[in-house]
Amino acid sequence: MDSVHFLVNGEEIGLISRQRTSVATTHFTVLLPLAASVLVGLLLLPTVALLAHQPWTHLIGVWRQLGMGPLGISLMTTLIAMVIMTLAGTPLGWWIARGGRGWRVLEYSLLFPLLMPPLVVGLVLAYLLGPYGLFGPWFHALGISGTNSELAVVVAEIYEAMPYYILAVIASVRQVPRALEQVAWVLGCPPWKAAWRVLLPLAWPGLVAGLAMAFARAVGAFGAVIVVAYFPHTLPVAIWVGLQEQGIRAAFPLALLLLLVALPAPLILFVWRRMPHADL
Amino acid sequence: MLTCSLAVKRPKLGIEAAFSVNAGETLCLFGPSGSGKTSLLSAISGLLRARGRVTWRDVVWLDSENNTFVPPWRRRLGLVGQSNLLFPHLTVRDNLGFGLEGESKGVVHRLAERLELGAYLDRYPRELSGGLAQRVQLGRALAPEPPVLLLDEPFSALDSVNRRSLQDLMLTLRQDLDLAMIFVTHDLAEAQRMATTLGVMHSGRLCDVGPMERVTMAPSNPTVAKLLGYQVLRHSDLVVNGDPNRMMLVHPDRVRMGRHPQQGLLVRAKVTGVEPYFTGARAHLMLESGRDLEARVSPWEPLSVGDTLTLTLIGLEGKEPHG
Repeated sequence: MDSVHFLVNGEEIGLISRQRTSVATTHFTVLLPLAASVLVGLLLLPTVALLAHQPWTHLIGVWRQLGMGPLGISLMTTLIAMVIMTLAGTPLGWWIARGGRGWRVLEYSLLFPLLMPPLVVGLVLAYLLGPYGLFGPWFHALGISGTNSELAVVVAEIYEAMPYYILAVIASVRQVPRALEQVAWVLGCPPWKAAWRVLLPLAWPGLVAGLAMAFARAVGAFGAVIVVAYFPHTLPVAIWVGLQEQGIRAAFPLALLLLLVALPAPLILFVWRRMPHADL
Repeated sequence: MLTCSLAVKRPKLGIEAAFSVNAGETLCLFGPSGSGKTSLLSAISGLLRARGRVTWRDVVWLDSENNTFVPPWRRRLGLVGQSNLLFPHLTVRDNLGFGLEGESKGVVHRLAERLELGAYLDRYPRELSGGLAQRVQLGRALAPEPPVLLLDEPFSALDSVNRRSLQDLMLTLRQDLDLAMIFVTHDLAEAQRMATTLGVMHSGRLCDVGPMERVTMAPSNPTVAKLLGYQVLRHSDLVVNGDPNRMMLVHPDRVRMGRHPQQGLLVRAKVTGVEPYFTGARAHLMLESGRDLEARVSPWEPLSVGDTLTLTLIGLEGKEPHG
């Protein structure tokens, strides 16, 4: 939850650094940067150390041999999951943010899948989608398998990632004063048009940040995915399998591949949100 | 003519009001903060669901008996809020043209000229001073040429110089555009300046509404009188003959030092305190009955604490005021 707030409300960090210059004491000027660099070092060191011990030829070899299939599955399923999340999550978050008390209950209920351990989500899904589960037979009748299929992967990814996106939508919609939309109504815009012309332009940095976060969650989804869809291997599952069968030498290059896919979008967005032009 | 008869039922602050405003007229809604002025405006614009009837000319905007409700986006209203209600992601030009459909260049250009905003068309709202921002809000509301303009304390956050110049602007616009205006304010001086009709609101109810002169000079009940600055006294407080419980309204501006029997009622009082007020003073007096009374004192009438003197309560002859 903290990270949602952090990304969406771009002001907070700026405030702290502005205060630092005004309260310029030695504690702040010396100790704080020191502590910060130690912390950052601790966070980055393991990755950098591992990276330094991997010859490039080995990395590329493993990627070619084990990585491409799972990468394709991961990207394709994540893409589909993202489209569904955007189409369903944006209006849902909007209604929750702007709706009355009844919708508030929905907001809290979203915390359920968010707080539920992914493994448990996977079990629930396996029960729902499995051949003897609640919906499994329906899928079977349609000739689709509810588990161990791309469909199962997409569903598991949505369950793991969508609450983050919806919460981001709620937060960024709430940030836009309702009075602004009402002014647009009085100026002749029906609510959907006001949402398009006023709400969306003001909320979209938050929405995009939410999408980036949801993307990182979906592409890295593991717990729920491995229970409900061991096959086809997604990249996170492939990492697990690689680790089980061949050890860290096979798993690490795949992990690195996952990082390369999952990290850039949220990172770029994070930096972009910190730049002055985003401060509307 | 805009005719409203509205009721909003709410646990906290219910609203009840009935009035009408003609084109070219301004109804000022005056009342303390939290008296329901803004809610009443919201009910007129349709942003707040209310019961009752609202009509503009022969168009029915709201009739709860017949389940008629025209949503805000089809009422053709102008709304100017307190502040910060400009669209922050749009330039002044795009804010001005927001309510216009299709070609808006000409209208925006004319408005900008009229409101002296020509130099600011490419600025963003965050770059504008308070006075300029309110000018833009006004222009944005006027652009679609609505016949009814609702103003919700539009100048409250401005300094007095800016406020005066925007009031002047509103007064000329009112003449030129033949608008029916409803102007909410908690500043009586502003209400008196802008109003043709004055409405006084108190805890959700429109307690008095009528021509500005009538309401300010002869408020129809003690609650309204108090809100307009009157002090409500009884005959017994003034030690005059007649029913001791009959009430009289005394305004601090209508207390004159000394004996002027042809102008009003004479009473004796003792000065208990004097504090500066603009170029003159505000005197706290105690009548012989022990009742406190406040009076404005001109700069040429020096008073000191402890003085005992005779006062004239202008316009009062021991009679009951209007209503």
